[in-house]
Amino acid sequence: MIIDGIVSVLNPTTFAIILVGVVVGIIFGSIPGLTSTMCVALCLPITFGMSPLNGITMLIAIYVGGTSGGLISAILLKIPGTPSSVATTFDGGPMAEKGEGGKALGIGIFYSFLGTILSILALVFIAPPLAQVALKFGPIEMFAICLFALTMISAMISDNPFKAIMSGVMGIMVSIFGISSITGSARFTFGFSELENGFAQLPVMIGLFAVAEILNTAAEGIPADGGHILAYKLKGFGVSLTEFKDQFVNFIRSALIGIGIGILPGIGGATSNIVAYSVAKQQSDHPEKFGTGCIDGIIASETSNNASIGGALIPLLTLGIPGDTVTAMILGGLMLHGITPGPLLFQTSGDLVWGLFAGFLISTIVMLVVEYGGIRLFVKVLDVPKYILLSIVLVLCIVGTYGTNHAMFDVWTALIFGFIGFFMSKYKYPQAPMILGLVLGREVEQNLLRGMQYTDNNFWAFFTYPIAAVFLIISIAVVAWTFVKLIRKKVANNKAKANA
Amino acid sequence: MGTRKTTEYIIDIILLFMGVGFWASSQSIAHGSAIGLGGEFMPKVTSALWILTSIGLLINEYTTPDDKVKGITANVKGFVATFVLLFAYIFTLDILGFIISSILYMFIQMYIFVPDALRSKRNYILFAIVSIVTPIIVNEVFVEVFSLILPTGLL
Repeated sequence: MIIDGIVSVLNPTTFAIILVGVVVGIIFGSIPGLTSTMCVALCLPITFGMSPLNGITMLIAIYVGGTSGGLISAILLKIPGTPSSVATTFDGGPMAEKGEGGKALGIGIFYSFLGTILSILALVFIAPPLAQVALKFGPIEMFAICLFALTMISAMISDNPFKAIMSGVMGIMVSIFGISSITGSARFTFGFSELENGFAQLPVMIGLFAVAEILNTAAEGIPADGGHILAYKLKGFGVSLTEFKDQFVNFIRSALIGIGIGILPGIGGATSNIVAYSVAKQQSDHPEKFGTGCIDGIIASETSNNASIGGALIPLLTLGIPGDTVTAMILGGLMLHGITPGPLLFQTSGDLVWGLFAGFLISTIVMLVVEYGGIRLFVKVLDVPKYILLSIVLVLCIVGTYGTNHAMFDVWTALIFGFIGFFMSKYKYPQAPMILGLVLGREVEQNLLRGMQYTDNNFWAFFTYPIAAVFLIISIAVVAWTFVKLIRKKVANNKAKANA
Repeated sequence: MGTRKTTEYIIDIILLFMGVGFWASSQSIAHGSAIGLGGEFMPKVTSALWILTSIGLLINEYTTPDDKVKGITANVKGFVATFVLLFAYIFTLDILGFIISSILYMFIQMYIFVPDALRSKRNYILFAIVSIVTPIIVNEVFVEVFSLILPTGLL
């Protein structure tokens, strides 16, 4: 099964697909405002005509390229290309200003590669045994895990837990529109026949991530000066053997942080790069050098954000729960190809799983070669004005939404959710819980209804199932802790105001 | 429109009304063919959670001091122009087809987006070229290579 899977990606077509995926991913990752989430959403329809293995491998290749590509603008423009490379700007920018842009890029690319490789190892060694354990999970355990995923993301992603919870509830609400697959009841159709099938996930995602960004740009305006690209000269991977040895602990620690945060549902590289950077600074013998252009910061940020990729794929493939927004899109891609991720996937489609692992590894190697060798091309893309790029992106949004079901309703859906997404980002409602609610909503419902049947409609009996009880108690504790934190913050603010 | 706090209140109240609307609508959902809980259960639970969360949002806003930040800081003109343009683009897709409507959309969108300092005849020519070439290439690639169907309209 393992060999069959690996062999299945060793052909020119898959190589070409990986190459295109990585290049497009790096381009989207490197341009501020365009993200790998957006890129995966736009490229999903392209994968329809491909085999499931090639299609999903392409999405993973985009994910790998997109996560790493953010470092280019983070270093040369001092603007993170994606939220995953925010911390890279802290030291990458100052290094480029000191004339060490090439060294910073080399280090960033090299440690992106190493971080991804470690996360592949974690994926290969953690996912299969976890899938074996997950095989024993029934609907009650699955409901508890889905709830855990939704509460974790809501608690960790926003300063205002009400907004994060509302976002998650909105996602679940959108997912339950249409005829119930369990009972056949029509829900929230409001007399529209198009709503009987509910909202297709892809147009909602394209609306929230791509159309919303275009409306956001329209509202913010585009500055005439798109940013000054700093000079660089790429030579080697930027680290000497001594530096590599000195940074080894930082590298391993950052990779573990990245993998761990990636595994947690809903959060990924966007969080891990900041956490790894902060920990590296705390543990460093020279914390004062952070922010002035020291390599430790770039290594921490770039290792951890790429390590989150493999981490995020672990819950996706073993439990069907996305580790972050990109894997939520990939989950949508798997479903569109008729594949239900989860523990059974390892038994029924083991060769596909191992093929994806192999594709992931090849994408990582291609990312190293392409990003290093084609850096000049990617830097040139940074020069393309945003007003041209975003217009092209919107046209691709139309292709993505219409191309799925050939329904104008889906295109209107993307526009409506683009409008909603715009207001969400304007008023700081995080979009990630909504995406998670959207992709998990029906799963939550199905498992809740089945679980309630098992327990004769007694929800409290869910707590008698040990694994479910653990996840439910953690979920309750996480929500309670979030609200305690909010109340404490308010009390402290009031005290400060009274003292002022 | 007032301060950010006022806008937040308005959003919270809209959300509350929407929650009440969903709750009312969920009361008329048929039980369906299930033995235990039916198809109306999840919509009722979700709309109840929606209402509770929007009340939480209102309470949270009430207990947050007004920072006097402006409610809307956006370029309303640019936003409305883009929204209307997107609406018109989608509306004309079926009539004019993907290529023609995309050409029109792209040119006007770039015209709206481009900063005043960069408005020049040379740039407008560039916009026209990009607007014509991109939809044709996209159409060829997606229809011919990826076998997707796009609206043909007049063509």
